[in-house]
Amino acid sequence: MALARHSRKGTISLDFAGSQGVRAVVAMLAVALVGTALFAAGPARAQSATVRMTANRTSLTVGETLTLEIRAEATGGRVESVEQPNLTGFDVVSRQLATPMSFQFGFGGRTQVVQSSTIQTLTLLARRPGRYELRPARAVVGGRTFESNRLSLVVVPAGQKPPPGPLQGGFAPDPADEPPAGAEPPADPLAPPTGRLDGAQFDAEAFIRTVVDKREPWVGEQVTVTIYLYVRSGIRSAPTASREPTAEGFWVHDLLPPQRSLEATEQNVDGTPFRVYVMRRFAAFPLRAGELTIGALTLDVPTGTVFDLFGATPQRALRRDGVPVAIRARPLPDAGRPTDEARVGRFTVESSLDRTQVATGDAVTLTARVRGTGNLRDVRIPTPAIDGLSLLEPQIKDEIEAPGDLVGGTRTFEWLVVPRRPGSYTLPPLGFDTFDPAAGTYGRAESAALSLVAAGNVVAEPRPDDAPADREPTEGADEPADPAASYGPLRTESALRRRAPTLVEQPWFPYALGAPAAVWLVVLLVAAALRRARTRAGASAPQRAFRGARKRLAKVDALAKAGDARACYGELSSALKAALEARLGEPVGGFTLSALRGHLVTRGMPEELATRLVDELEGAEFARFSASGASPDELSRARDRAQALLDRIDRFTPSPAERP
Amino acid sequence: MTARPRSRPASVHAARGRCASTVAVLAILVSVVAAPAAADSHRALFARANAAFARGDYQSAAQTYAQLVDAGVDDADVYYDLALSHAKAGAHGRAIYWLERALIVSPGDDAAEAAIAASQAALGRRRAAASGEATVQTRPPFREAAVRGVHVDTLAVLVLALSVLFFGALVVLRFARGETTRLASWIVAPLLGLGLGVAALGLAQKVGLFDTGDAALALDEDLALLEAPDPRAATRGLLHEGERLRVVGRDRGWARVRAPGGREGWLRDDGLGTLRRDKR
Repeated sequence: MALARHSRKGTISLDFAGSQGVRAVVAMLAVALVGTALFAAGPARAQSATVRMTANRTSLTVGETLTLEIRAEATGGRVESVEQPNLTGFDVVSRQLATPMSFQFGFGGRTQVVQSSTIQTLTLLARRPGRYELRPARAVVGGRTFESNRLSLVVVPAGQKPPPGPLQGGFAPDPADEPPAGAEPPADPLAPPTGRLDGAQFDAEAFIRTVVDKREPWVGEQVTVTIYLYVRSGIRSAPTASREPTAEGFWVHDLLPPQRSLEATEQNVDGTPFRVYVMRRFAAFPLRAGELTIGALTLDVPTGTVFDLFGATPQRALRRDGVPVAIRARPLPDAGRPTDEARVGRFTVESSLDRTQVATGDAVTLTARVRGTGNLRDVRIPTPAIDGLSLLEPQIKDEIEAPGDLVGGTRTFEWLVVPRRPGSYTLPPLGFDTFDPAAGTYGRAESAALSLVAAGNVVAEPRPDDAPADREPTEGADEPADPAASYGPLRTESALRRRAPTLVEQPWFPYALGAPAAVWLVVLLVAAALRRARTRAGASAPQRAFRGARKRLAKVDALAKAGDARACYGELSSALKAALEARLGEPVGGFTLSALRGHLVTRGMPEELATRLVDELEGAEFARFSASGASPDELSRARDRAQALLDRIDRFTPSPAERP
Repeated sequence: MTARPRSRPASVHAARGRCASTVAVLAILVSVVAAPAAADSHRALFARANAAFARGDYQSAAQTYAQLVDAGVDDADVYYDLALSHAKAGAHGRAIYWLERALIVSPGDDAAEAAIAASQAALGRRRAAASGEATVQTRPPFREAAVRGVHVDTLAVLVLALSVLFFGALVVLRFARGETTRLASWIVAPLLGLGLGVAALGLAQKVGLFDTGDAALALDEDLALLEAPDPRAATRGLLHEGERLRVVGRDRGWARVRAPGGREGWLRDDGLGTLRRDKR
C-alpha cells in the first residue's frame, strides 16, 4: 500500500512501503498470466473502425473494368454490414467478400471482439462515359456507422485514351518516388543496399550495419532506419540485443511485425559471402533541427548451426556493436513559412456533423478526419471558437499504419458542440498548415465549412465554478481551479454494454473447475479397479479349474443313471486329470501313468496318494474300454473314490516345479 | 352421489395449446422489439447526459448517467463519464468510486487510473488545506494491487486451462511408459501445478474469498461512524471522502463497516459505494 502525504505547503512525500513487493508479485503474475492475456483479454475497449475505398484505376474507357475495394476494419467490435456506394454507370461483374483477421473470444453472455475486417472486392464494368463521384461506403460497427473516403472515377468514350489518374483512397505513392517507365520493379525493400559499405565497421566474421534512407531530412520528415546483421556462418538461434539503438530527438514507429521469422539474404562484401539478417527497421521522425544520432545496436550472436550440438565444433556467441549514424535534420525553410506551426507530411482533412439541425442545449458531434502520410501524432487542430456554440475539448483517436513502410493513417478529432443560442451557424473549415517534404513547399490541409441550424430557447452559460454550494473553498487552499482538468476528455462514444455475468458467476463454473480433478480421480480409481480385477483373475484360475473338475464329477451320477458306463468313466478320468492340472499348474496329459506317478511324487505328493490316483486313473481307463458294462453300484463306488481323491488333491500343496 | 371428474374434450386442450403458442410468440416478439427500443433509449439517455455535460450542467449529467447505470448499463465509458461529471462538480469521493467501478469492468484502463490519482490528489489537497496535513491512500492494498490489472474472466480462463493441463499431466505421468514422456511430465506437472496455484490464488483474491465483506468507499467527507445502526448512537469517529472500507454487515439501510486501522462502526448506506458488480 502506498500513501501520499499532503501538507498545507503543498509538499508531497510518498511512502512506498510494500511497493517493491507489489512489483515483484505483479511481475510474477505477469509471467503466469502472459499466456492467457492474449487468450482471454479483458473487455474490449470502445469500438472504432476505419473504412477505406480504393480503386486500382480511376480513369478508364467504356467497356473496361476496374477493381474497387472497400475495406472495413473494426477494433473492439464486429463489422456488422458494409454498404457500397451507388454504382450507377457501372455493371458489377463480380463480387468477393472476405473477412480475414477476426479474433473473437466468448465469455459468458458476452462476446469480445478484438479485431475484425471485411473486404468487399467488386469488379466494375464501365457502361457510360462521365465523371462519377462515388459517395463514401458505409460500415456499421456496434450500431454506429462509419464512412469511407470519397472516390472520383472518370470514364471516357470508347476509342479515347483515358487521362492518367492517380491511385485514390489509399496512400498514393509520390510520383517523384516512382521508378521511371521501363525500370526494373523495386527489389525487396528489406534487402541490404549494395555499393559502398556505410554505417558499419567491417569484420570478416560478423558485423552490424545501420542504413538510413535519408541523411538530411527535414524536421518531421520520415527517415527509415534498417539495421542489418552480417554473418559469415549461420546462426543457431535469434541473436539477443544487449543494447538497443537509441533514437533521442526522434519519434519512432516500428515497421517490423512483433512476431516474425529471421530470414537471411546473401550478399558479397569485398568478395566475401555473408548472410544478412534484418534485425531492426523503424521510421524515425526528427523532432528538432540539428545533428541527431541513431545509436548503435549491440547483439550477442550465437553462431554455428544446431548440428554443432552433436559435433566437435565449439559453440560460440559473438558480441558485435553497431555504428552510430548521424543524421542532420534541416529546419523547415523560411520562405513561405506560415505563422502557425506546419505539420510535415501529406494530409487531407474531412469534417462532418452527425446532425445539421439541433435543439439548443443538445449536443452534436463534429468530426474531423485527418488522413495521410507523416507523423500523424503531431497533428493538432485547434478547437474553433464560435460565438453561441460551446465546444468541448476533442476526443482524439489514432489509427497508425505503415503500408509500404510509409507511416501514416488516420487521426480523428471529435468535438461535442452545444448551441446555446438559436440561429444558423457556419462552422469554419478545420485544418492546419502542412509542409510537403518531397516538394519542399508549404500548404494547408483544410476541410470544407459546415452549417448548423439551432432552434429553441437560449441556454445559460455554465458557471465558471460548478462546485456544489456546500463545498465552500477553504481558505488557503491551493487547489487548482478545475481539479478534473487532469482527467481525460469525456467519452462521447460507448457501446453501452449491459451487465453480463462473469465466468465465475456462471452456474457451471464450479463444476468445470472441479471436473479435471474429478476426471483424474475417476481415471485413478478405474485403473486401480482394473488392476485388482486382473490380479484376482490371475489368482483364481486354478480354483476355477478345480470347480470345473468337481462339476465334471457331478455329471458322473447322471451318466451312471443313464447306464452309460463308458462316458461315466471318461468323465471321472477327466475330472481327476483336470483337478491335478489345476493344483500342479501344468498339463499332465503328456505323461504316461507311471511317469505321472513319479512326477507327482517329485512335486511333493505322498506316495500313497499318488499311487491311488494312478490306480484310479488306470482302472477308469481300463473300465472305459472294457467290453462289459459296469453295474450302477460299481459306478457309484468309483464316483465316491474319485470324490475322496478330489478332496485330497484339493488339500495338496505341490512344491514348485523345476525350471527346465 | 359423487361427481366423477370428467375428462376435458380434445378441443379444450387444442385451444389451450394454441393460446400458449400465441403467448410464447407474443413474448418473443415483445422481447425482439423491446431490445432495440431499450438500446435506443439508452443511446438517447447517453446523448442527453453528454449534452448536459457539454452545457456545464454536471449534476444533471451525473444524474442522467446514473439513470443508465440503473437501467442495467455496465460500461466502463459510462462509469468514466459519470466519474468525470462528479469530479467536475467537486465530488471526488464519488468520482473515485465510479472510476473503480470502471476498472472492475475494464481493468488496465490507464485513463481511469490517472483520473483516480488526480481525484485522490485533489482530496488530499482539500483535506490538507482544512486540517494542515492529510494522508491519502493512493494505492490499494498489496493483494488487491497484484491482480488489479487483470480481468476476473482472464483469471477464470487461466485457472480452468491450467487445471486441465495440470491434471492431464498427472494422468500422463501415471500411465506413460516411455522414459522421455515420464521425464517431461515430471518437469511440466510441477510447473503447471505452481501456475495453477498462483492463478487460483489470484482468482480467489479477485472474487474476494480472502476478504471479509465487500470493498467499499466513503462517498462523502466526515461521515460519522456510529456505534449502532441508529442516528442517535454515539459517534466512534469520522470517515474521510474516498476512504477504503470493508462492509462486514448490513441492517435496514445501515452498513457495518471496517475502516483502515481497525475502526468499526455503522454507516448509512447512502454514504457508501460498494465496489461490487450489481447482479441483474
